[in-house]
Amino acid sequence: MAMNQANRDYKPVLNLLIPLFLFLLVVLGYILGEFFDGLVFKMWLLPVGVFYWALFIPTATPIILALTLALLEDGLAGTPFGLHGLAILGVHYMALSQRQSLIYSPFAMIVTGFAINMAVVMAAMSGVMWLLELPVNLWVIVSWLFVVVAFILLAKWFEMVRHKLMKD
Amino acid sequence: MQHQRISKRYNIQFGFYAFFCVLFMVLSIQFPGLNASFQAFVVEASAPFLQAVKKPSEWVDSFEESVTGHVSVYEENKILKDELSHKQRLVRDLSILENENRNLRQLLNAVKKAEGKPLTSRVISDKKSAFSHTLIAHIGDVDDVEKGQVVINEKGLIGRVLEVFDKTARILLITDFTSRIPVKILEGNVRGIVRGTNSYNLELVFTEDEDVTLKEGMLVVTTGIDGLFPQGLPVGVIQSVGKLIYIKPDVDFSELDFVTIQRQPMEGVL
Repeated sequence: MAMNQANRDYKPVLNLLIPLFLFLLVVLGYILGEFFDGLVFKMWLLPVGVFYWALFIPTATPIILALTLALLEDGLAGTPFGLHGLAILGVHYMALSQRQSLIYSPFAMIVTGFAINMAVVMAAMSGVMWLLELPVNLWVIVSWLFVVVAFILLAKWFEMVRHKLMKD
Repeated sequence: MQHQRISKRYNIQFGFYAFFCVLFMVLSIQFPGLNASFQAFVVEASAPFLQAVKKPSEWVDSFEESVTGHVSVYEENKILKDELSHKQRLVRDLSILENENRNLRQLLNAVKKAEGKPLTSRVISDKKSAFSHTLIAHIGDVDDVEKGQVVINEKGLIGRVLEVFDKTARILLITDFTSRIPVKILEGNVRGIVRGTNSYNLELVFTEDEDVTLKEGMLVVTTGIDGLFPQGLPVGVIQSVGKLIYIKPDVDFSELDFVTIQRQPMEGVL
């Protein structure tokens, strides 16, 4: 079934919808951050969208789009310019390099793939931060857990949207 | 594209962008001013949006407050009356001490340091993460805000102005890992340095008097020796003494809706 979905073409409106979705994820991360501002971990939703859409519709999810939104996050969060950008590049690359095996897999496998990839990306991010003498602490693990849970919820919704906008 | 492996073109693009990110990351850390214009553009462009985003959370907070407020209004009224009476006594004592202080300063020919005009501003974005602790206030260059100025609220020290844009300013909280403040413990007049931990606690790092006995609950205030923070601003209280000494800040950083910027002239300070 998944193979059929991947083979089918999508409606051009997704070329507009996907950038909008990704932008809204940046916005949603901010809104959640404001509602839960007592929490110190980051509500980082952009990797969820980038991974999912790069996996299923890569032509509508160009790397430059993902990078631009990640740099926007850097500007808003005040982190060193390029930190989120580098992480999102990693997410995009991993999604594309694993799509042949993942898009044919059941949902649980996709979630597992995302969780492993995000663990790698966040570990690399922490490594870069350590090299740059920025603080690295265990809150990164909570961030990772949050992103994985967010993926489970959002990917289900993305799947519904994708199914509706696939050409028969 | 759907069934192709990653193309050579994509690999080149990826490599270029990754190099670009690493380069900018290193440059932005080595030369903090370099990406300021980019951040200024992003922050300025999104200021109206951030304010709009803040509204729903304020509505939720005010609704919650009004519900809980109605439930406990009589009890609170009694407590507030007691507090008012206590505060009135304190104000009276304060005026006596102020007078005494003024007289002693005159005797010593001491010059009182100008602290600048305070200006209160709304917080439009509150970004605390494992990576940094900053916030954006809706106050900027047009309001005579300068880099380095001290930010407080009614409870104590919040941080200092890190970057100033036209209508907004980024504030570095004292809880940020890069923040360092010279402080003293009031009991015993012990001096030290407080640093942020990117969580809600501060860590006390001593530079002198390492043998002194510290206890939980001791008050920590600024020393003012750096010329940036005025002397005697409340920072927090010692929360735990062990291998590391942690301080609980007086300010509740989870609920910062308004901040006050002490607009003292910064020329020659930074």
